Amino acid sequence: MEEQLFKLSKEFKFQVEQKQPDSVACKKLLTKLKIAMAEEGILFPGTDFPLDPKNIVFTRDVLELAVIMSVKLEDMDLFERQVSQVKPYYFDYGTEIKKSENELLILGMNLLYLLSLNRIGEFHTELELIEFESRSNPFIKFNLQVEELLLDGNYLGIQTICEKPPSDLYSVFVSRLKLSIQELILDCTNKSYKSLDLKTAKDLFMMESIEEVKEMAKTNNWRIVDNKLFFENLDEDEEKIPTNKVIREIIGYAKELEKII
Amino acid sequence: MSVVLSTASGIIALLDEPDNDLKTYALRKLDSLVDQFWAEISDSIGKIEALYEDEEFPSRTLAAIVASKVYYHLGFLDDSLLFALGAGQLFDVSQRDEFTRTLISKSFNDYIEKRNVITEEEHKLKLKKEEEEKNKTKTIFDDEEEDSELENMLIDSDEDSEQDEGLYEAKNERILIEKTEVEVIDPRLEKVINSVFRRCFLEKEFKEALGIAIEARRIDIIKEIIEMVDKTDEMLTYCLTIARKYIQSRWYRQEVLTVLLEIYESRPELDYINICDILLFLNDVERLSEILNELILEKSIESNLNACQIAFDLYENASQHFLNELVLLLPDPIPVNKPVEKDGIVAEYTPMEQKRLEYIKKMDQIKSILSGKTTINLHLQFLNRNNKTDLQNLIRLKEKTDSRHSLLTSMIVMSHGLISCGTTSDVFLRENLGWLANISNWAKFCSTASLGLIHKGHLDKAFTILEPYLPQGSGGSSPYSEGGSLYALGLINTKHGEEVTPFLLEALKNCQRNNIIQHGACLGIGLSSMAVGDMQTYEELRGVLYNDDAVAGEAAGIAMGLLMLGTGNSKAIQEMWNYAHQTEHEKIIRGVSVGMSLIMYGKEQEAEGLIEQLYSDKDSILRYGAMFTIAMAYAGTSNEKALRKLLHVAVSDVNDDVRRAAVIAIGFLLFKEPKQVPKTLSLLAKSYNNSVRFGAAMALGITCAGTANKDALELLEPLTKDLNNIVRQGALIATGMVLMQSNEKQEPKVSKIKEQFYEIVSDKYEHKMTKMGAILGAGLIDAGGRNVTISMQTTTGENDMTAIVGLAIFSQYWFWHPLTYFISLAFQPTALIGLNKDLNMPKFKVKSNAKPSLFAYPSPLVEKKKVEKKVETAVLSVTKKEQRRQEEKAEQKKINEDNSQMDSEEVDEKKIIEEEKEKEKEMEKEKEKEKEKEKEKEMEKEEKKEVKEQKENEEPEEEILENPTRITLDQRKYITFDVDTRYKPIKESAKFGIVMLLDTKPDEDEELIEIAFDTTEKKEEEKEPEPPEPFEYFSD
Repeated sequence: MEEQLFKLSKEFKFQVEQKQPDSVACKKLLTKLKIAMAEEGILFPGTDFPLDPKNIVFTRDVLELAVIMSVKLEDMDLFERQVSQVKPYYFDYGTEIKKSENELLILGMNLLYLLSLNRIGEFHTELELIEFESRSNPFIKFNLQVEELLLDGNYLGIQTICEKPPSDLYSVFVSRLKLSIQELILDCTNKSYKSLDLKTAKDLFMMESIEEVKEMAKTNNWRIVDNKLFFENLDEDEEKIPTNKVIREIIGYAKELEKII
Repeated sequence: MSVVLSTASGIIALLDEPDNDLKTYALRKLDSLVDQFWAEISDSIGKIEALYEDEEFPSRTLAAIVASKVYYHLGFLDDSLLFALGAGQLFDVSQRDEFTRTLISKSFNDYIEKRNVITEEEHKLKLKKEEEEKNKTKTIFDDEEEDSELENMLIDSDEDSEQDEGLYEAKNERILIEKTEVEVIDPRLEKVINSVFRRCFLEKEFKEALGIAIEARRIDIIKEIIEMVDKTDEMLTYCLTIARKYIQSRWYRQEVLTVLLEIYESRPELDYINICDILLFLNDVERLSEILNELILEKSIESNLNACQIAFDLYENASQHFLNELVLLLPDPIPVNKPVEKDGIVAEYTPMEQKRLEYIKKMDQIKSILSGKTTINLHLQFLNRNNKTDLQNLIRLKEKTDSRHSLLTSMIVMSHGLISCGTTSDVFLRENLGWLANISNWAKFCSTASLGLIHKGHLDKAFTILEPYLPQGSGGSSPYSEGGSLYALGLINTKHGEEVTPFLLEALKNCQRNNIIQHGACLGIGLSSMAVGDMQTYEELRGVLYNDDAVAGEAAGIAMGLLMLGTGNSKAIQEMWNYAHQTEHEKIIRGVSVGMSLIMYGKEQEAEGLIEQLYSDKDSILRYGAMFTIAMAYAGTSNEKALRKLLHVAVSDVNDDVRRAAVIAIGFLLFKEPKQVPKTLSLLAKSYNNSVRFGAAMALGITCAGTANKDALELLEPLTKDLNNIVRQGALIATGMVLMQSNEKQEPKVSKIKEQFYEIVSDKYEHKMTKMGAILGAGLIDAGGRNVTISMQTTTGENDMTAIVGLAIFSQYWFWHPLTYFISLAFQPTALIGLNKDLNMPKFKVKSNAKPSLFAYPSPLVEKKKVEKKVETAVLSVTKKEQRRQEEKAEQKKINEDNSQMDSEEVDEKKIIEEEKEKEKEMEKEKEKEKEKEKEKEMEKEEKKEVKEQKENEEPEEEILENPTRITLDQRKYITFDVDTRYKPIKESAKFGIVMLLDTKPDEDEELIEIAFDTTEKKEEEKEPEPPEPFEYFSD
């Protein structure tokens, strides 16, 4: 492997491990690294020739760093991309090399990311890929608990548990999770109630202050009268079953069937 | 360390990288993994497409090929092809993987489709331009009217091209659309196609390339291929067959054929047979007559043989009209005067005169071949020589039939007619004169007409055979047999009625409006002057029609159609159409509407007007006629539009007859692809409607006749056990047709089916309609002494007009049983007849490279044991009787002796007379029995022989066949000409039909096969059995 690559990776690592990494510099470095790796043929190498474990470990480490970088920069698109790039190194290429310390951290973050976006299906697919023994690992266990609570609808429980995330890096996702929970609750209340007390609404929405509620009302075009919140049930136009059309068509089919032969 | 990737998501994620190098890297990776991960990649196909469309992206082609592969896996071939074309060099046509092959075939399909549209368009434009140019020259003098005339001409040209082009449907609408947006072929597509052609050339896959070139209408490539291949002969023939069979567009076919003609003519050795074949297709009578004349003038035997072969082929394939024109164009040589004797010295012909004589002889030969008489005669000889009729089966059926039942007895006679069609053997009739005597009325008409069937094609002897029955003024015989004999005369002289038509017309005039004789005479005239189009005869028939007699009118309607067959004569159509609305007789309306359909034979689009007119009529019989008009006009074309209409009518019309006719008509459209028919009809055969099921059975029978098609039999089998007796009838007849000429080895069901026929006839409770079907089915399965099959196409795959018409009228038997005989028009002798230069049959052998039993005649005695038993008992009873009689005689003698002196002479005489009578009777009986015995013995002998032969041979892998021989449809591919050392066929591809043979040892004596009749009158008279006595003799 070339010196150049090592140099670049060291620099990249240094940059990422800063508390507040420089977004532009980091991304530039990462691209450079990737191109270098691609030229070297160690980025997603073909499977037809024997692979050097050293190279794989190297690439994996770089890609892991890239994930961590994206979390620090709070760039979610980049995060998703980087996770999917590093995953083959855990599951396909990684079968015969030593497991990375960061593996469960990164996979855990990915799980939480999916939860925060309410992508439950993908969450379970990803979960199945993780070995069963690893489920007791705090990074993973945390997600399992969150998912369970989410399923129960115990949003309060989630709030409590989220106060103690297993890693600092998780906080980004935790706050996103909270937001999406809020959205879920909003959706439900919208349908369940016609009006609500502002205070009750604040508690229900898990908001810090009544002001926040008021702001929320503004963005959603809800009216506030006498400290009461009125929801507008906008989507009334439920799909009706087109009875007449269906009947007409079925009779038509029957007639045609009679005719056929 | 090896690794199996489980996902491509990592690589796909790379596509989102901002850097182009990384994207390229990712695409390259994806290209190698796409076959495995296409499902995953398809989620991000948008990104890849975007890359392809990004003009600044350096690896656009790479993106295109990846996208193409993904779309290929998704099954969106159109998109896939589009991207593949965008991929340029990366889409490598020399690859052999599935992706490339699929896309190439897809691109060919697209290309061919577009080329077809474009060339059609070009052709139309060309026609228009020609018209315009003509117009210009015309309108030089007449500027003012230019515009309107130009328009007229344009319309005219449109119509012309419509008429010209066989395959072209959405006429004006499409023209309009194409005018606005003329399709242009993607040059990239063209490039791909061309590179595939190059690859084909490199790999010597010329046939494939040629097929594609023809389909894609690339005449330049066709030429190139033929010039490139060394074995041009093979290629040319291949090209010729393809062009004839598969090119549907008429003008394009002609274009290809013209190219082929040029190539043929540019070669040093002229292949006259193929050249003439092409000329026939191009309808070039003049050139043909020139070539024929040249060939005759040439000295070599080979060229003369060629001329004969060409003439035979022409007779088989060309239309009557074409042949007539050809004969007229051939020069009429001036006869040579006999040399004058001078001073007692016998003068000899000068060499010049001898040459002329030779020429005259040959010209006559050719003309007689073209007139068809030679072919008919040869076929007759073949059928007579190779007659392998097994009457046992029929006799069995006859025994089980109640002779009081006139329908079934006449069916037995009909069945016999079919079995012995063309064999000139009427043993059965002569043996059963007593039984025939019971027949009366229309059954008598039928049985007399069956003579015509038995002697079908016996042109010279027609009058001799039928003399006892023909109306002779001084008559006395019943009108039924007179009418029947006239019908028979027509059957014998089908299409060759120069001699009999005047007689028939005379009979029509002299019958004093007896409708039965009129009926027979009309049918006879229709048959004998088929497609002649003579207006005088037409008027004669019209006179009969206008008499408004149901029986005679129906026949007249059909006869008018036959006379005007395929002429599209609008006057006739108009008159018939009018009369169909005037008359109240359903029979006449039916006859007339069938007649109208015949007039429109082969007219395709031209018939649309009449079809529409007939179909929109409220009279169901005319709608019935409309269906047959579609069948006739589009026979053998598989025209999609017509087919759709028929299918629609088959399930939607309110009248059962119309529905039935529609289904039968489907058979007429599709007969060129018999394998497709069972699939098309499978649903209809399961219809709830009896008529539709019957029609499906009939259509199957018509199209799959003689093929022993498994699918067809599978469909027919349940129908033979149908709940409805008419459906059973149809299915039994159809089964008989499908299994023609097949034996147990080929199709194990054959014996079972024959047994089924027998069981149905002998079942007391079976409906007579079903019995009728079984009897006819039994007749068809063994038809023509088993030497014929039913086919609506000639050996080279052209429409056989006579056969098509015959089957169309045959399908009217539903209403009028005597029309059953028309099926004989579709009988095609499956013969290989070798001829030498004098049109005689030399001893000649061919080899069939298949086990003899595979194509043997069905074994004659299926029911050997049962029959034997019967005979035994019969013999016993006879001997007993005889014994008894002798005893009685002895006693009587004694008594006589005792009483002789006492009794008067009178008593004696009386007794003697009585005795004599008794004796006579018993003698007769005895004779019959003896005959049967003899027959049995003979048959047993034959059986033994066969068994012996079989044992000796232990089924050899090949069989040597003697000229003339039966060669069934399936057997053709096994025939080779390598056994005979002396004779070689002049046309190598001919493995059946009439083949001219080249004598390689012309100096040796030729061993000719004795011809059963015709050569000398005397011999024939001795050999020819006397026709049966008139039945009236026995009737009271």
